[in-house]
Order: sequence, then C-alpha cells, then structure tokens
Amino acid sequence: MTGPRAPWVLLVALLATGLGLHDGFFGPRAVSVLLEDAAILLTASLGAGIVVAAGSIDLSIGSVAALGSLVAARLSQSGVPLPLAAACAVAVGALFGAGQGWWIARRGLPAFLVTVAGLFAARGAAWSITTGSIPCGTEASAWFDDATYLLPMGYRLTPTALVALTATAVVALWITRRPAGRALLATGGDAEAARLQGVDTSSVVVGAHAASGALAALSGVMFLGIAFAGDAALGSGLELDALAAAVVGGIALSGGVHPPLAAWVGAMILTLIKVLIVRDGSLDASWARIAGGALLLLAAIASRRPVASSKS
Amino acid sequence: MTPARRAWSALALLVVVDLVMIPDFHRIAWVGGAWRGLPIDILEHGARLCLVAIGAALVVATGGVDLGIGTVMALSGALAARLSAEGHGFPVVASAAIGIGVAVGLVNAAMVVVGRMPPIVATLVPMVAGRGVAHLVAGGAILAVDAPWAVRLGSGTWLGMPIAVWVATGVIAVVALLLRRTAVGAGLAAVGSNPAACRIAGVPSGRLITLAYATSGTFAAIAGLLAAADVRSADAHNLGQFVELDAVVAVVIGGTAISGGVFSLGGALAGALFLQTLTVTLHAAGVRSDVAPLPKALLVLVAAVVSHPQFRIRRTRSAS
Repeated sequence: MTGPRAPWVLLVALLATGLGLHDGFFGPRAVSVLLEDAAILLTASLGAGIVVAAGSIDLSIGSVAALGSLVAARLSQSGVPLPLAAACAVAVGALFGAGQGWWIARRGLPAFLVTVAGLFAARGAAWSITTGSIPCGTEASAWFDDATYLLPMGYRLTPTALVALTATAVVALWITRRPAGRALLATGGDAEAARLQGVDTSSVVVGAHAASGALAALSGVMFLGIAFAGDAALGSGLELDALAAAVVGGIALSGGVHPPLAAWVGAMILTLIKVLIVRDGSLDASWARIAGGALLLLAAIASRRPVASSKS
Repeated sequence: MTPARRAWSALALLVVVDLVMIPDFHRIAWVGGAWRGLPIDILEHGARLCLVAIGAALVVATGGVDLGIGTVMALSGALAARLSAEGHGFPVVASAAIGIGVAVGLVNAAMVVVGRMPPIVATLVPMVAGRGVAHLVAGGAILAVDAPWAVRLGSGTWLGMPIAVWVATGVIAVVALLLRRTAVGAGLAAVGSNPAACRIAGVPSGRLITLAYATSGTFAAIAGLLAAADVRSADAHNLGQFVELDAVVAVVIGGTAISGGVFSLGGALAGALFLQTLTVTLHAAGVRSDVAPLPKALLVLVAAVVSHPQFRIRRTRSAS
C-alpha cells in the first residue's frame, strides 16, 4: 500500500503491537517517555521536512544542533534566563540556516555542497566554544528536573515534548493555512513555474533553510532538558536520521510534497521501532537501524515520481 | 586552467607552504628498509581517501552521489575482523570484504537504475541500515584485527613504500587505464550530462551507472580493509564515519561537477591528497584541533563557487 495513508497505518500498527506486547504501553509514564525520546528527532525532522519540501536539502542539522545546545548552555550557565538563552540559540541557528539559504538561492550553489560546508562550519564553531560539554545553569537544571505539564487522566508532558509538539502544530498549520506554506510547496514542486506565477522562490528557499536551522538549534536546546548540558559531540548523523524520518513520513525528496504531520509520523515511527526493539530485548538494538533503512527504502519507492514526469 | 590542474596547483602551493613552514617537512629518511617522513605519512594515510574519492568521482560523474561509502568501510572492516578472528586466511577475508562492497554497490545501483530513486535517498538506505548490520557482524564490540595480513597491510612496506600506497596506486592505475582505453569514461560523463540523449543514442546508461556504484562500493570496501589494518581493529560505529563527505569534498575540489557530466580522476586524486595534506598542515601549524573543521568548510565553499557554471558565466560577462 502506498499513498499518504501508509505511514499512518504503519504507526497505528506499531502502536497496536506495543499495546499487545506490553502492559501499560499507553500508560501516562510510557507515553511521556516516548514523547520525550522522540522530541529531538521530531524537531530536527520538522526542519529537514521543510527544506526537502522546498526542493533543497540540509546536511548541517546535526552540527547546528550541537552549536545550539552549546550556545544555550553557555548562556544559561552565565546566568541568562533559560527562555532567553534558548531564544538566542534558536536565533543563531536561524541566522546560520539563512546564510546557507542565501548561498543556495541567491548565489545558485548546490545545496548539497553548501550544507556540507555548513556541517563542517557549525561543528567547528561548536568546537571553538568547547570540545567537551557545558552544564547548563543550576536554575535551568532544576526547572527541567521539575517542570511537567499535567494533562487530563494523569498524563504529563515534559517541557521538551511540549515544545516539540507545539512546533509540529505550528509547522502543520503554517503549511496548510498560510500562503507561505503554499509558496513552499509550489517552489519545491516546480521552482520555474512558481517563479512565473509570482512566487519569490529565492526568499522561500532562504526562509526554509532559516526554519531548518532554527529547528535544528531548538532540537539542540532540547538536549539540555535531557542531559542538563550542551555537548559538542551532539547530533552527529542527526541530519540523516531527520531526513530518513521526513521521507518515511511521506515527504518526497523530489520536493513539493509535505503532508502536514509527515515529520511527526516519521519520527514517531522510527522512535517506536527503536523502543519496541529495545523493550523486547531479544533483538539487538542494531535492528532498529536496519528496520529504519528498510522503511526508508519503502517510503522512497512509494514517493517516486512516474517515469514520464521524472526530472532528467 | 582546467579544474583538475587548479587542484594540482593548489596541492603544489600547499606543499610549498609546508616546506617553508614546517621545518621537518622535507626530511625523508631511509629507516629500517623504508622511507619515513611527513610526505610519506600523507601518502600512507591519504591512500584510503584517494581510493574512495576515485570511486565517488565515478558516481558523481553520472549525476549521482554515494552516501554509503563510510558505511561500506565499516561493514568491510567488521566482516574482515570477524572472519579473521574465526581463523580464515587473507584470501577468504579479502574476498568477503570486497564482496560486501560490490554487493552494496549493486544494491545502490538497483535502487537508482531500476527503482528510479534519487541517488541521495537510495544511498541513504545503506547509510542508515549499514552500520546496524556492521554492529551485528561485529557482535556489538570493537574487534581486534591482529592477523599477519593486517600487520602487513597496515604497516608493511614494499620497495620502501607503505603497502597501502601500493594498493591505492595499483587500483587507481587500473581504473585510469580502463577509462582511457575504453569508452566507459566518456559514457559515464554522457550519462551524467544528458540522460535523455543517452537513452536515445543507445548508450547503456543502466550498466554504466551500475558500474560506477559497484566500483565505489568496491573501493570503499578496500579502504575499509586498509583502515582496519591500519589501526588493527574494526569499530563498527566509528570506522569510516563521514568519509563519504570527505570523498565528495575531494571530488569537488578536483573539478568534478556535483551535478554530473564532467569528471576528472586526476582532480579527485589531487583533491584527496590536498585534504590529507591540509589536515597535516593545520596540525603542524598548531591550528587548534577544535576549529579544524572551519578551514574545511571554507574550502568546500570556495571549491563550490569556483566550480559553479554560473560563476564562470558571471566572470565572462563582467569581462566582456
């Protein structure tokens, strides 16, 4: 089965498997842990999805996440309140992404090369802050430790999960309801046609990369909520997992296709597979990666264009 | 100046800088029946990058990209370590390791040619799944490789030069000869520059693309063997990590267009040696290792700008 419903069917199947195999799989604690586990990948894949939908690619996500986590940790350590520190980190990510977008859209350089350069540059910038890790301020740590948001029936959300879900909702609304969302899909589908219809495609690409950078940095900031520290080694390979999640969720690499909740579905599927395999215990954790690769293959086959309209 | 020549010039310039800046750079000594010195080190450690860069150049020429290189290195290293530990001799170990490289290359090619998938997604599949398989092969541990073949391959010399350099030279010479003597090189570039015209002209595009990915997989597997032999161990997690990116960078520095259609083996070779020399230079110049990726970022950007057709068009326009 292909089409936009396939990832949802898979997600439901995985959830059903979890429910069948483990007691309390939908219990308050398990759900909270699952969402927390998925938060970083989810946030990173939102950015990857936007960039891919615009017909571009961003390989710098992992490095920008590391940079973002270090900026936020360093600021919070020196007494800056956490929201401000996080905002600064996200701004750094957005600027970095916009810079890459500028090279791609305005200078016409291949996105692959520009973001590989970005991968090295952001990692270098992160390493120039520190090569190790920076603990965040005591107030921030204490807050991360305590803060949960109560939902009905005893369910709780950690701050990272809440932020990730909010970001998901914002992106979904943006794509479906805003003109910018339609401009994004038009640009990714056929940049030339979009330009002729009056879409400022360069701005769309710059904006998509800025969003990806901001979300990558945000995913780095979330790492503070899990480890109470920023880390220079964070996120190595995150860009590829994010790309895989986006494609598994139904975003076509050829651009122009972005089901509203694709990144969420993709990230949840990949995280659930990992959780199920780890909880089962009889399979090596490496199988999670192998399953992820297999899913990516299926998703890519499902999303390819028919021969006649394939780009040469 | 052709892009390839530009890459060689950049390499020559860097070597001159090194000769001036690093006092011991020119000192190559004959120690214990082999040449030793910084340039020899560069060649020895650069051999792997040269190999994978040549493979990557062929793939990029067809308009593709191979993100699976690092994973194939990890797979081949892990498999070699496992078989070696089980007491198999070098012929078995080497053919299995290279076999897995060919296999991954063929799978990549099948996804691109038959599956019509974008190369970046197709080769992302082995990249995501491959390290998982490598972990399984290695049994989740870092395996030691201390068989006699690993010692010879990793630190042996022949006629005064490291074995790794001979392996890379031999393999690259064969490729260069094949490309020069047959129409394969022209075919690869043709497929990359205009697939539709190739189809109409009867160029066997599918077979050429398959050849490119299979070659890239094979060379990655050989590089994995060399890497495992070099450090006498196979670490499924770290072996060959990000090598695919270094390979693409080397290829682009060497004047191969990332969009395909134009490629230069010599350029890729120069690009790989340039990257390796740069690493040594930065280290010797005392550039803090914590900012070491920054010059690389700059280099990629410069190479991309210089090699981009629009840059050339703009320059000729402003000249006229």
